[in-house]
Amino acid sequence: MSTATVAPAGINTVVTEVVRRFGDRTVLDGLDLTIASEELVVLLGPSGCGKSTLLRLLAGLDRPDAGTVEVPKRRAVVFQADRLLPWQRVLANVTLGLRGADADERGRAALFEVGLGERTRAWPKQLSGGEAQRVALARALVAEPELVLLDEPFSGLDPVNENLFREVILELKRQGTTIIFSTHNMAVAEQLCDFIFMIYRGRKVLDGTLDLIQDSYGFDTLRVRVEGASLNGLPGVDRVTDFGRYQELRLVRGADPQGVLVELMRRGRVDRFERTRPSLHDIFVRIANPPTDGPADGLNPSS
Amino acid sequence: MSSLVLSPPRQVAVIEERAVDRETFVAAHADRSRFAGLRSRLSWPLGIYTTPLAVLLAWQVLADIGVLAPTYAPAPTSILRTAVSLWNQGVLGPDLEVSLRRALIGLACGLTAGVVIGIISGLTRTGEYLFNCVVQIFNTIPLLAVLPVMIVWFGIDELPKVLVIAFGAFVPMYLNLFSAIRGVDQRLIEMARTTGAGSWRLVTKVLVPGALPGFLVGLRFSLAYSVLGLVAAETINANQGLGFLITQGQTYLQTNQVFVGLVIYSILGLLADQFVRVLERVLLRWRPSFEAVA
Repeated sequence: MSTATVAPAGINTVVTEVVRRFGDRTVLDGLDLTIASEELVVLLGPSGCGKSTLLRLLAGLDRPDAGTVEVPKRRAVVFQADRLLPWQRVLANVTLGLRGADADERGRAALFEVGLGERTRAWPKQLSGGEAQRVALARALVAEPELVLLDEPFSGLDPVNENLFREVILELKRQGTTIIFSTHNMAVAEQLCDFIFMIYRGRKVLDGTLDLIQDSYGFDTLRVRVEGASLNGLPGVDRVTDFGRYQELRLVRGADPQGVLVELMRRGRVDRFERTRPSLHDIFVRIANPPTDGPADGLNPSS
Repeated sequence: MSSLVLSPPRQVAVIEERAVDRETFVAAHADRSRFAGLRSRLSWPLGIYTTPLAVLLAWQVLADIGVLAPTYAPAPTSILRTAVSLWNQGVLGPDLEVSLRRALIGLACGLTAGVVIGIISGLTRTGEYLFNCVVQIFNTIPLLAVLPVMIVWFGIDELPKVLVIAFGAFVPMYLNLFSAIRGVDQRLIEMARTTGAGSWRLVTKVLVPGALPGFLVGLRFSLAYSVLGLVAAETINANQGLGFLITQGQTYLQTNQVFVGLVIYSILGLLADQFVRVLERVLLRWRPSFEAVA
């Protein structure tokens, strides 16, 4: 069932107490979400956590089993696969949902915007993967939506296409469009997003700006590079992650980083020592892959 | 630009110990002579007509040296002469015309019904519940078994003949179109819904073009079955048409005349196949298909 409602000004999307089940598996379990207009929101979460399910609910492709989903009527979806109609030429694919005499003109403009102004007559099977994704993006742009949903838009793109997608998304945001996309690319999420939501086991476990989220963890991370020394059993260090060119140490709450530095210098030659807030990557891992030998930090959904 | 980084010594010994099977790929055609293009054109100059022409040639030779008796299987040239003389006698022309008219009317009725009902059933639950089971039952009834019923109901004039042909064309068209529409990729239908395209666009831009390959398969079967229906209807009771020509030839032991009829039926089948091929090439341009290997 769907009913027309008028949301208060400044609010684009509201998800209230949404439950979605597949058989006896509850994928979304009482999810709440409020997204303001003109925001760029990233949806994080491990595979199978319900990101795509949520995006499908927002797109109106599925109905929730409980709760309500409120989204603008004018919305567009960029699916993970391009989903172009193979029997329509590129331009006809872009203008599929358009009405009016200027449809072709608008389609051409959208294709020009994604750098495919020359390929309006091509068949989808003649396009490269990146080009097909760009056509799918143009198809979403052309409707001038108030909400754009993108399911992992950056997966499988080369750096040039990634730049183009980022530019188009930022341009959409400048024009006042609200954008929600899911991704596993933490660097893109950190660079682009106003707001971050993370879903884990059907519930929202992170909700806020990158700064707020990182601040809640504090400066508890050390990036170090130490020649010829074992990093095992450092006092005050909870976990060591080896990134190859450097190692990340997570401090036990309240531990003194100076003490760790002294211990490191005692063990070997310290080439690098840097105290930072945890990266989004690290925060993701902490939530989705908590250490088995102890309780995870505060954001464990069961706590 | 020279590299300042010394590469570490390779562990050659390890690689040599393990023999690796390797493949080398070179540019296509690079290993062929400059006559390659000519050769590939000459290697199958007749294309798909190779086998029929070879059979014809062998047949002619066997007939000429007397292995095949003229009353058993007359030579192709002899069949051709008979065809010309039958035409000149004013027999073949009208018979052919009658048969073609029956086939075309029957086909037109059967295909129209198959397409219309197939689309309704494919698009709507109601249509599926109303028609699908019935046509599935029709599908199991042999075409030749329908003929006696038609004769009982409609006599022995044109109507039962046209109906048998229409029946033969209808069933495969309906079945293939129905399953093709139901088989259109669900993800594309979903995508179309999110773009705000209405039901009309969904049908005309997604479902119907997506079902075209299935439609063409249906058309192929429909054409073949309609020829089958034509033969059956004309052979059993007719006083005009190709089937009548054949029955007459059989009665008076005119083997030549029987073969003239058979040859025309097979030419009709060949033309139908060529027609569908052309349609496929035009309608399925978007689909890069498998180009068979040499």
